[in-house]
Amino acid sequence: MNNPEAFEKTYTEYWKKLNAFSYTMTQDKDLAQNIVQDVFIDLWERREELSINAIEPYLFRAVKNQVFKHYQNNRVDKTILEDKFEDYIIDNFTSIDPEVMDLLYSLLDKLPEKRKEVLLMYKFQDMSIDQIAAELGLSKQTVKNQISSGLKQLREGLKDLAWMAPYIILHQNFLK
Amino acid sequence: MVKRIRHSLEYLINKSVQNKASKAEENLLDHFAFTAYKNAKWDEASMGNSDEVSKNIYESILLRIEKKKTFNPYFKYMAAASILFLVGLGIFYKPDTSNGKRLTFKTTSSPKSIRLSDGSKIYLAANSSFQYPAQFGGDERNVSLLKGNAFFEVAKDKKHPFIIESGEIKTRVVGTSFHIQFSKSKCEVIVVTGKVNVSAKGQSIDLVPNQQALFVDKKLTRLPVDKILSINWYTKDITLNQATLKQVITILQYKYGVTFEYKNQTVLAMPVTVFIEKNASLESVLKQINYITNLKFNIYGEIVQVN
Repeated sequence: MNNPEAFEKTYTEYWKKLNAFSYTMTQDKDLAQNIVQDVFIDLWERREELSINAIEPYLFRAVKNQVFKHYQNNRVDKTILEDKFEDYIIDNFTSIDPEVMDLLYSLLDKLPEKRKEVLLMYKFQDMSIDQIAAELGLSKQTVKNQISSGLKQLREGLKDLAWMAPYIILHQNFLK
Repeated sequence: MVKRIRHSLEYLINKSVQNKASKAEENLLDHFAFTAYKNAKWDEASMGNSDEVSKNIYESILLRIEKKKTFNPYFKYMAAASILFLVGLGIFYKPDTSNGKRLTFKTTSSPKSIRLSDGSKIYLAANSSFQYPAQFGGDERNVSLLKGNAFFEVAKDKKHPFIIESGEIKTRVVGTSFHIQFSKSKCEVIVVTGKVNVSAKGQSIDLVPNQQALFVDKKLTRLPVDKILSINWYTKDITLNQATLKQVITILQYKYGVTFEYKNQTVLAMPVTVFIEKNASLESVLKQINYITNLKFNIYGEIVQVN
């Protein structure tokens, strides 16, 4: 990284993916380009003090931090990232850390019994719509409706921090 | 009391920025972002033409870090000259890798061509090996011929001379096309069109068309060149009309990266007429010659024995 050729080669290899990433997260073409630019400038200016084992993760993290920073400053439309986050949580339900899962479980608990059951079967047990319908004695359409309403409610729950509040309070008490 | 609805993402990011997030929460944010990174694709409609964008970003970077030189790789190619570069047998030359990672292009039994980032085109003969950077940067364009033969068509760029290293020889061109053949015992550069400077061990020679530089026993000399070698057999079909067998063999040595071994020197003077197609295999050409001369050729790897 200490010479112009190596720097240029690194730029050529990673710039495109990083820009695609920064654009996906901001939906702002100019900002996305500026983020990539700043990350590489920073990389060059700090080349002496940084010893980087794997350059790609480093660059990814740098862009990610920039994106989050702009999100915090309201420089970007917050709903872009928030919608993506909700999708991510819903899609990755089953592989999220138990600690954070606790919060989601408490959210699930708020769902009507039948809806919760259907959602758990669908997401955690990976059952198909047909299998769930057979198991619970429901029509396929009913199962589909329950899944879609359940997911919608989860999304709403993720938007509203209020459901996290009880957990936070409990947590603080525990820490005291 | 109005409750402000705050998204859970905002909560997590705030925590992370203040370094108060737990490991699980950091991992969640990290993995969320990484998933987006993994799936990110370039969308030309909303992001623009990627080549232009790349150029813009890179130029902005260079401006900010106050580099005075910018290398413009978007450069029109103009072939100005051809140089035949002939080098002896074939040796693996250990390259200087201090300039960052370079790519190696090797051929085995058939020739191949490759285009460099500045538009230059290299035709590599069989059994040859060539090293080059993925992207040119700095004042010079540096490449290396590690072994065998190559024909170069160099994109014109006066500000960034193109330099080929082959053993101890450095060939410096501005915009030309030329042949190089590099081997253990000697190195020859032949100019077909254009001008080239060849230097080695403190000696330096300028070559113009139909001249040849020969480097052998640490000495660099200029010689007139056999006209028959001033043709481009890499990209054209050629007919050698009543050429001596020696001349034909010389060309075959360049085109296929092989060495001919013969016991009887007198056969070399034999006149032959052969047609060498650009994509012809060595076997087919030798068959032609066998038909005319009754000489037998046996191919052992990179050596052809003549009986």
